[in-house]
Amino acid sequence: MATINVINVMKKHQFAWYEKFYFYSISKGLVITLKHFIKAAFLRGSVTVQYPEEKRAYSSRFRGMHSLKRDEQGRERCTACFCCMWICPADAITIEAAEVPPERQHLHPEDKYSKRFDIDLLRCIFCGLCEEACPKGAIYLDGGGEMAADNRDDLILTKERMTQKVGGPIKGQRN
Amino acid sequence: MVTIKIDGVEYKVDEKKNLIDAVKAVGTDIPYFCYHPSLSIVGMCRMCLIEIEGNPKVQAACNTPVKEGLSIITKSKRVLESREGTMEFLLANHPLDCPVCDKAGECDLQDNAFSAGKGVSRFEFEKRNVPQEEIGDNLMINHNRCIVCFRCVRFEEELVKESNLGLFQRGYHSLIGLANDKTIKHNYQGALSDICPTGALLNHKTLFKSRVWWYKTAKSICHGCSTGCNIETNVRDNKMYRYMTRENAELGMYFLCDKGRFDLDWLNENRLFAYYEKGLPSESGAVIPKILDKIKSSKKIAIIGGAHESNENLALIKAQAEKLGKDIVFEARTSKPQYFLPEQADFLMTTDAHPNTKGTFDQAFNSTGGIDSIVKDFNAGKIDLLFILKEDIPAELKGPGSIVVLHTNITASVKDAEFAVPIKTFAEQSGTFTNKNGIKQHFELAIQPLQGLPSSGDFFKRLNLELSMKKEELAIGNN
Repeated sequence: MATINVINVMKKHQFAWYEKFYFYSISKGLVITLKHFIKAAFLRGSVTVQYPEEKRAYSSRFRGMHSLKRDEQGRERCTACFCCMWICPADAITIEAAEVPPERQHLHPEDKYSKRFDIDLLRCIFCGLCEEACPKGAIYLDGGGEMAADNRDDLILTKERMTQKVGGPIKGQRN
Repeated sequence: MVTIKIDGVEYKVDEKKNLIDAVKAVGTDIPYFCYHPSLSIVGMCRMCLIEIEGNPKVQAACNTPVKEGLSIITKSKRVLESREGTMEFLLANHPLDCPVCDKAGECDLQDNAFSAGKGVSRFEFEKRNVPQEEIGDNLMINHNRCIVCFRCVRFEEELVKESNLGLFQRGYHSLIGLANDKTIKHNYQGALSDICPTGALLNHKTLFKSRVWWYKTAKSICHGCSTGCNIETNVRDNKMYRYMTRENAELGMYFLCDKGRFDLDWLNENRLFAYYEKGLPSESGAVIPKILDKIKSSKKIAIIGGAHESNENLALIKAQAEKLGKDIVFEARTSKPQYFLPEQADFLMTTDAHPNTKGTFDQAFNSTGGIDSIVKDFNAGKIDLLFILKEDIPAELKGPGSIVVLHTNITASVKDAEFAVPIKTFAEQSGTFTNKNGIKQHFELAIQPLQGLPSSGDFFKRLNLELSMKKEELAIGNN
């Protein structure tokens, strides 16, 4: 049985005589390089950024470092309900709750607060379940993705490091 | 037994019970807050509304007598709607601060709001905000969470027989508060917070320690006194956090006193995990051979204490100790109240702080002469080896013989005794206690014990085993 409709693929891609000529092809390639060079160097069309100095904006859904939020009046939103600690699949969160002492009363909307709130970044898998479990909108994984450190202690996020510091240091704390 | 109709189906129920309990027994739940089987009925919460055939209005179930021919409807649209209404009213001023509240997870208000509530509130005004108060040395009241069910006041007046709390003002302004200037000091502050259907009454000792849903529970018996209240142990991370009452309608056990409820630090702290010799930590390999030598050379051995041990342990101790082949005298009564019939300190607690005194009588763990004659014999040198089971060393004891203390905690007696042996607590094993009325009650293992920690019975078993073994066998550690 004879083969019908045979298409010779090689024939389609055969070079014309001028294409076989070395300098034609090389200059065609160089034009593309030159185009990109002009775009990047003069027209600010580069794809890469100068990383440590320049940073790209993260997506709004990016899950990075944790932060504890404050409400409009500057009070801590977290009331130590232990929901995040309970849901955490990696057991990264440690909370110690206490009754709010009178001198901190202006910092908390309720009478219970987290005396200690540690997140072990070495354990955290950045799944975002704590964010979802929080009934008060207190914890968000909206920080950056850079958290390298040269010792393990620096990878324990304490409350002081996490709490939103809009408007200076944490109120009620002397420093 | 009478026949009543529930939602059109006829059931035979006990007419001595309250309608809520009678209906629950045949499988229909009516939500309630203020009703409690051992308290009087006030019908204050209006949550248990039902329709009664031949009655134009919805009625409170708790206040309806069970009688022949009664026909009630518990699930009609009208009933559900009125319960929704009640729930909406109760929640109008409730702060809904469940994330902060310690009761969340075991809260009747939460449960009923989910099962019978509407889910939304039409209350759009500022909620009432009354600051919380300290009303006892271990009790505080959060007025915002209170739904004025009157349970606490009734409990105090009817069972504790003290009137510290009262209901003040009316309607929207109702407040539960102290009736006089003195704060509450009685033994039932834990029970008050337990009986509260919301998080209005809370204890300082358990405040903010943990959340309810973290606890692993086990059925247990209170270790505090000879009443033997049924409890549920709440354990988290292998640490005892609290005891809760386990309701036992047959025995009428609904409460727990503070002495039993809050006496649990000894299970977690200051535990004895090492064998001690002359007040210093040692190890079993060094201590047990010395005890064995003492046993071999002794004329008469006494074992005192044991009312803290389970019946199973007592039986094992008795059997193993008699196998030692020495003259042995047992005495479990180390404190005075154990010699008399149980006396009530208040409506629950007895003066005898041992959970299993009755059990020791059943096991013949008592001598005829009592503790005094044993002390006399020991001082005179007639008894030269004394085992003490989780008790203090009697003050008059000054004899030349040796004392071996079996204890769960590092106490003065452990330091003073010649030898001390660590044993399991009641929470680290299962067994039975016989309470003052002779009722044998089972308790379950709640805390995983440290590996290798013997119970008191196991210790005597090991003594016998090593006594029967030859030296070579012991050397290879074949035990």
